[in-house]
Amino acid sequence: MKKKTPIGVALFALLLLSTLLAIPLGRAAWYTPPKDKLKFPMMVLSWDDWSVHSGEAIAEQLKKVGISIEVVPTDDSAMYPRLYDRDYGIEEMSYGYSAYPSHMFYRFHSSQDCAQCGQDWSFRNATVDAVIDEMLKTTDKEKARELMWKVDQMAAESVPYVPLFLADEYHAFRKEWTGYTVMPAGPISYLNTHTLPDIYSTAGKKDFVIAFNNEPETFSPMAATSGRALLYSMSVYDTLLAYDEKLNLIPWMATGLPEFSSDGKTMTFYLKPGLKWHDGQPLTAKDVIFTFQYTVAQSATGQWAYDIIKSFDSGEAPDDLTAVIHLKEPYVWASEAFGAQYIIPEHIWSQTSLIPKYDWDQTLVESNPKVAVGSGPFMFSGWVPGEYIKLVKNPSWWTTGHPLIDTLIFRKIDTESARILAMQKGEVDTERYSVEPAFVEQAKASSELVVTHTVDQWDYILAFNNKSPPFDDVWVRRAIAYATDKDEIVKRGALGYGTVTPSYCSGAFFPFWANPNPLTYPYDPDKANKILDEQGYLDIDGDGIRELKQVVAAYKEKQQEQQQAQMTQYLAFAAIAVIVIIVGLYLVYRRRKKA
Amino acid sequence: MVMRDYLLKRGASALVTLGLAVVLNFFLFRIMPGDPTRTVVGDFRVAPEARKILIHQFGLDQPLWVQFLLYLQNLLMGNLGVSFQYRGTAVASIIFGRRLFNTFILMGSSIAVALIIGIVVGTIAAWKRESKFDVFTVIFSLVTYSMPVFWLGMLIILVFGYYLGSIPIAGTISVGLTYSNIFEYAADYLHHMTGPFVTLTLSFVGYYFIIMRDSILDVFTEDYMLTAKAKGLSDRKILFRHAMRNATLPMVSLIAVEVTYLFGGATMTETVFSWYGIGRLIYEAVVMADYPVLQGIFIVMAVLVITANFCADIAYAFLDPRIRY
Amino acid sequence: MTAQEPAALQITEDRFWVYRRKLRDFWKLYRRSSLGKLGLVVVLFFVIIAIAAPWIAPFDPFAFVGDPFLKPSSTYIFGTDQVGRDIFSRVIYGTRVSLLVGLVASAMTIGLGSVIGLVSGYLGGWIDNVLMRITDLFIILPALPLMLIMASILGKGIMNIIIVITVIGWTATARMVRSQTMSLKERPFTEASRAIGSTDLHTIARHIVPNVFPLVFANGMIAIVDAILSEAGLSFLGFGDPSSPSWGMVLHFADTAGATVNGYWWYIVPPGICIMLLVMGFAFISYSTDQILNPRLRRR
Repeated sequence: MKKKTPIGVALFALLLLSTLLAIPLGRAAWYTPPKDKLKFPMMVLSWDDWSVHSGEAIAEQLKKVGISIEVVPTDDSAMYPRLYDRDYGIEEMSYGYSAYPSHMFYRFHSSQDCAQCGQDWSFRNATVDAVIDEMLKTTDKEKARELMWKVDQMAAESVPYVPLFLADEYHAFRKEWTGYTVMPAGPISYLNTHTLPDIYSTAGKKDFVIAFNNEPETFSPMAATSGRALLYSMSVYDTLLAYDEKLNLIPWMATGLPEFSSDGKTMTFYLKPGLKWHDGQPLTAKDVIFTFQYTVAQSATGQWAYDIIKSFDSGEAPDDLTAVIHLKEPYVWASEAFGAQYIIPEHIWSQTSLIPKYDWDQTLVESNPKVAVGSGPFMFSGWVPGEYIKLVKNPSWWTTGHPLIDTLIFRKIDTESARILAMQKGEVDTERYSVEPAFVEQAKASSELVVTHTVDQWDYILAFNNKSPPFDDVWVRRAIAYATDKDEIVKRGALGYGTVTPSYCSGAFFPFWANPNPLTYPYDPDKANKILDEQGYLDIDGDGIRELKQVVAAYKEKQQEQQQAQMTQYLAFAAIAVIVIIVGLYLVYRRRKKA
Repeated sequence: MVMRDYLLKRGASALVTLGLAVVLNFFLFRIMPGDPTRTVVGDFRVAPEARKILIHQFGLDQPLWVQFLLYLQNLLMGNLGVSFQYRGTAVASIIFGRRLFNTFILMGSSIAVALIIGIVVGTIAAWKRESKFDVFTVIFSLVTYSMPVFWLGMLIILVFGYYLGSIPIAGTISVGLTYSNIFEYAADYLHHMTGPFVTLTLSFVGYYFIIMRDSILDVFTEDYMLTAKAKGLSDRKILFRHAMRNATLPMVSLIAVEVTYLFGGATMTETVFSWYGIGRLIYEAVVMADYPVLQGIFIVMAVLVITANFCADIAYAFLDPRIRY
Repeated sequence: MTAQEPAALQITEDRFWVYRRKLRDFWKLYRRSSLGKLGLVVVLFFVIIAIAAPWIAPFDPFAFVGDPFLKPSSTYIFGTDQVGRDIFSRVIYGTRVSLLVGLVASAMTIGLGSVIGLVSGYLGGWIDNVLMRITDLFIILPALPLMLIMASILGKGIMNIIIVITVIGWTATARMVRSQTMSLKERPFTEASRAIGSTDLHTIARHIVPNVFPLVFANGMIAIVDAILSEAGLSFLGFGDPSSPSWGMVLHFADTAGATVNGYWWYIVPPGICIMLLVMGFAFISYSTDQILNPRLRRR
């Protein structure tokens, strides 16, 4: 017994220790700022080919100005935590535009410099904050736009990140379909309320089948954030306002754009008469006010919910067609945020026994189809989990005569190649997404398909961690901006399927808001080199990579010291030599004298 | 009674294992770099306050021991949590729904058919040892055992789906069809099940065959076989009455292990054929980092499997009086 | 035997000859089994390919050498993949990864399993109980889902796959080694060893391990088979290292490129056949080894 226990316990303890050790190993920081050279790892998103290939193109371009980049394809699960913790130096991937340019707030305001907030690049500038704050309170769109241009200008001077390009949107339809609207983000997107009610088949087919890669994760318009859930929401529910092809606001269920009081804190919507829910109940202003109250009360997390929660103070419906909303403060995008929220029926959603919370259990539609009642162009008809969702047309929709199809089906097909094949065979009519780059040529060449082309909402950027040296030096950021050839990046990175973004709010997507005279950094490697040289980032050891400013400075200092030491040495030698010569001459002279 | 002691002992050990499973389940997914808001948000960024609200709703801002107690409490009430991916949908309703049904039918039928084929053919091969039949079946089994399941699935899709076009390549039913009666529905369903069913059966049958064959050969060396032959019993009687019955004993414990597969699902096959089952759910949940779903599946599997093993222990105890642990 | 030679050296020498004889006997029996020889040939074949990969492969497995989805021809023996890489070269280089992962993972699995089995079986008591409960847990939970879950914790990469395979796979070896250790513990030579005062470690190392080893070796072949198939499976599902073309990874790319749906058979068939042949090779070796070591299976 005595001999057994120590060994047993030791081995056992070893086993336990080893398992416990594994855990903290995963938590160590990934990135350390470079100590001597301009050499760093750059994170790109591993599943996104464009992110990876653009990154490679950027690495090649930066090599020419003496910056060495190692492209590190990173998985989602590692990428986001590192971004949130600011555990990186430089990264390149796509972020997204929304229907209105709220990203100018989310990406540049100091309050958004936190983990999982709007910005990942630690950019803080009080002057920019002030301009943004003012812009958010301006109800006059023209004035707001001027302020946004100022923000764009200041951002361009600071270069917290380098905007690269907007992805292209290629959408494939079977050739017999027509009537769809092509606008930014494509014919099938949550911004586009026109396609589905207007589309029809020249071959007389009355079923329209859209292929998805996955099911919508929710049927609740209050909880929808993904593209597929939003597509379901916009088919079954309606909004007060919508967008036209230039992303201008147009009235939808409302008769016109909302009226604002002079202080901008009260806005009034007027509804079209005769609006009805799918179960025949009338849709009134009470439902509208209820929707916003519900959003705030439940702290919903839908796409626009945060803006609404931030701004909504109270509301009332003086009559059935008038909805009056009181805001806490004037908000530049109040119309957009409130106008884009899907209106829910008060007589159903106020019953908490039926719908307990805003993100309800998906299986409820099977036991209680009432939860799926909306006012949109289509009505929920059936759901086979994992296979498809079936919607039928709403015969009493407020645009008479529309939709032009009888049935709308969302069909789940896992891979892009299977979806393309299904389109060619006629099993589905289109897919939810832009055609993946590898398949664009194939789709275009197919005799069965028609491919539309516009800009998508994904903008690719090269982001710096503005607090991490050497990226805290604005000149380094500017030099990199000059050193990147955005056209080449689009060619190499996106196989040419992209539009370069010259400013921080792209005019290709937002024609109204974009800065007409942006401060740009055209491709100029010589200028980049000059900037870096002037700023003191020199290549001391001749390996083609520049050393950091402080290293160069230290080196220079050392050189100076060495030079001084050498000078002193020379002087010493010279002094000694002079003394020796004088003494020698003196001795010789004395000798001469003697003789 | 010795039997009772045995059962008590096995029961206690089953409970301990269950306890370990519950604890492991909780901590495993806390170690994971989980950010529910990332899964929830999907394509777009959500405002910071909204994220904080979400984290609070999932109870992830509480201290760890509080979360553990809540977890235990929920578990006892049958509440397996709420999915990150399918907003607001209870994990229990995701698991115990259509998916379980699909996996059950597929796995149940494949395992059953593979067992029957394996047992019968294994017995015959052992009897005709070293014959052409035996050699052929052994090699066939080794070949199918060596094939990766997903590759077998891909081949079947290629040959029967692409070239011959006789089976559908994905899903459990065709889209948008209306069925006039239950038989039409069943026919379509079974038609879609052909691919995964054949793949799974082929992948299982080799293993069962070899085990059965070895078991029978083992039994042949027993003395009672010689006795039976000396008694003058016909070959068939010897084979089926004595050999097979005794050789099936190891299969009993094997079946208990296979129950795991029944609920864990054939992840590979379901993924390749897009069969809407639990295996596919596991894969999707892993990809989408939907930890509540994984946690729920883990604990359900653990409970079912520990129970099945315990039942197998009981069955074994009754079948084989020699076995006392 | 002179008195001058130290007794210990004599014993060691004897042991050496004993081992050699055992090995030779084993080999003589093994040679008789045609399946065993076939297995050995197949495995050696792949090992040679793995070593000689740079000389055999016509192209760089990462370079874009042609148009995508070309059918097999004399230049591209297995055709090209979706970005124009030569599939034949990728399969050749894939041999290295698959073999490496298989061998390393199974070695670690057996190592871990043996240690746990030895400790558990020899020491008994509460240590044995706890370890067995943990082992039970890992045995009864289905391997692939558990592997997927662990892989999602650890992330992608070859090392992570090896870790995952090891952590999930040690149970079979542990159980077997434990039961063998427990039975050996009761044998007289163990008692004798302890009677003359050897420490536990000495007893384990000198007496128990050599007797457990043959069993572990046979089990090792199965572990290699499991490791290779597990790695192929995990890579296929996307958890492998995208920059190393293991056979499973090649099949993963084939699937995402729609090879099954579009009929690119040359992309699907070769990597799978390689996996199958390599696994069969090890399976044959395991089968023959089993036949020899388990005398009841031999012909009477």
